Amino acid sequence: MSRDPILEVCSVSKFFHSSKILALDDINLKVERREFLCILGPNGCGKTTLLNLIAGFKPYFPPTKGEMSMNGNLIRGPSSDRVMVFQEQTLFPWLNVQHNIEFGLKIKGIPKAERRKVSEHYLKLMELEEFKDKYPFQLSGGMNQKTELARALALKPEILLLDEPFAQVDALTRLSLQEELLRVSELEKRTTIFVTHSIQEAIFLGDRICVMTKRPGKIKEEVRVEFPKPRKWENLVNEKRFARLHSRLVSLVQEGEISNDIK
Amino acid sequence: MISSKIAENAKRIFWIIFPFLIVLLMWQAIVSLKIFPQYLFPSPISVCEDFIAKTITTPILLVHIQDSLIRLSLGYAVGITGGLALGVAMGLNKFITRFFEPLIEFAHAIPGITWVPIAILWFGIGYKTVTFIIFLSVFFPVLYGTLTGVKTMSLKFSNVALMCGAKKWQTIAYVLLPGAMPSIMNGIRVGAAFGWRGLVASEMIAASSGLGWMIVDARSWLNTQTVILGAVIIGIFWIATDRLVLKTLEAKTIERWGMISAP
Repeated sequence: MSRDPILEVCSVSKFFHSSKILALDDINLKVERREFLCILGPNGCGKTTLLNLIAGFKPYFPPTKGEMSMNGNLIRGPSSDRVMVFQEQTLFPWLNVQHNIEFGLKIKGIPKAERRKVSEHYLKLMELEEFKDKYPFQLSGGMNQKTELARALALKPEILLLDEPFAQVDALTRLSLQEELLRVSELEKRTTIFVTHSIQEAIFLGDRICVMTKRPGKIKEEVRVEFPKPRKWENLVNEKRFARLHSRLVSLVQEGEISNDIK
Repeated sequence: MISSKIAENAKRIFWIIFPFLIVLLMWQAIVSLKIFPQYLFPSPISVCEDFIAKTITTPILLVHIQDSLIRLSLGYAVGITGGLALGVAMGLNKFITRFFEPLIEFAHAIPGITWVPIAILWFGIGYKTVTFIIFLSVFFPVLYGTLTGVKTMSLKFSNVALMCGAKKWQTIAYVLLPGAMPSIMNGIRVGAAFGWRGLVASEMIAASSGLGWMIVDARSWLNTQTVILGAVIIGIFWIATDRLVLKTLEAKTIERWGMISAP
């Protein structure tokens, strides 16, 4: 389908021995370079597991079956090529906002002056300049997620992985964060995989949406989103095609629920 | 605003001094009743006189204090460094953890001064034995604290370090140690208190100088005012250690990072 896949997931299954749950069942996925892919599914469909497997994180990694490769190389563990923005708070409490953003650069041995330049750039981009000296416990949920995003972007990963990054923030903040993410991703043209259970969010952000069914997680259908970017919420919600796509995705997600319940 | 700050400080100082003043007055009142002979119940004035005699007339008290503090600093330095080092080594290596964990838990339950009799046989009376006992008293709580901190540290933080490409030593220095800080601080606090007790107790048995020895020596001459003087000095030094060193260290780390709530 795609000519230039950056990431390939081949027949990946994940069985958790401790809880005896088959979280993922034979997942096949190709992600194109510079694509914004949304993975949509209800809670417990294994989408977070899939994302953590791609990131190479324990205790998810390695998969029970199948393999994943990036640029043709087998994925063997975490790497700064694939950087995650987490759902929960993972900023280091002992570093202020600016030092959190610079952390990965410090690890890479980038000199201080250059680190400063990069972090200043992302502080500005994320409108966090006023808060650069604050510690994570002093931040609101929205600020916290912006800092997480800035930290991930500062690493300049080839693939950006986002695990419901806006699930914990209020609805209004979420809308502005979504627009900001889209703006930044248009600017930087990174490959992005975004996991969400929000249908609207998936349509707003994605070039393509993979719908997953509930346990065991399978990819049920792929949908292309044809709206041109940059997108704005106020324009999108009035589109007839938006409503049509939305109702189609609703029925896809619900079918999955119902068929599983009958089983 | 400034005047209210002064008033607040004055109030704080008053509530530090006032309880002691009341105890002193009651003490003097009981002495004035002359129910007990002077050698069983020395007056606060005789303790003050003893203090002056042992500092200004002949500075013997200063020598005892100096000896005790040198032993204490040495024992603290070795105990804290050793506890941190083994704690981190255990955090690094599962085999080391499995091997040492039960041993440490057992040793943790034995008070440091239990080893005084054998330490005297090994090291003789004096510096070495006392320092060794302080070391033992400090080492286990610090190790235990470090181990707890490292073990309970969330996997998410080490995943973040790995995705930034951190090497093992970087993960230890920048993530593991600061992340374990609340628990390490707790270990240092307990260790410092145990070490202080270890100092006094072992000097009573296994030294010929120091505050502990001064107290025991004074008892055999029925110089009870010197016994009380020693106790007061020990109390003052412990409060100074707690306020000036431990509290400052906490304020600059875990309190500032919001990892514990400020008192």
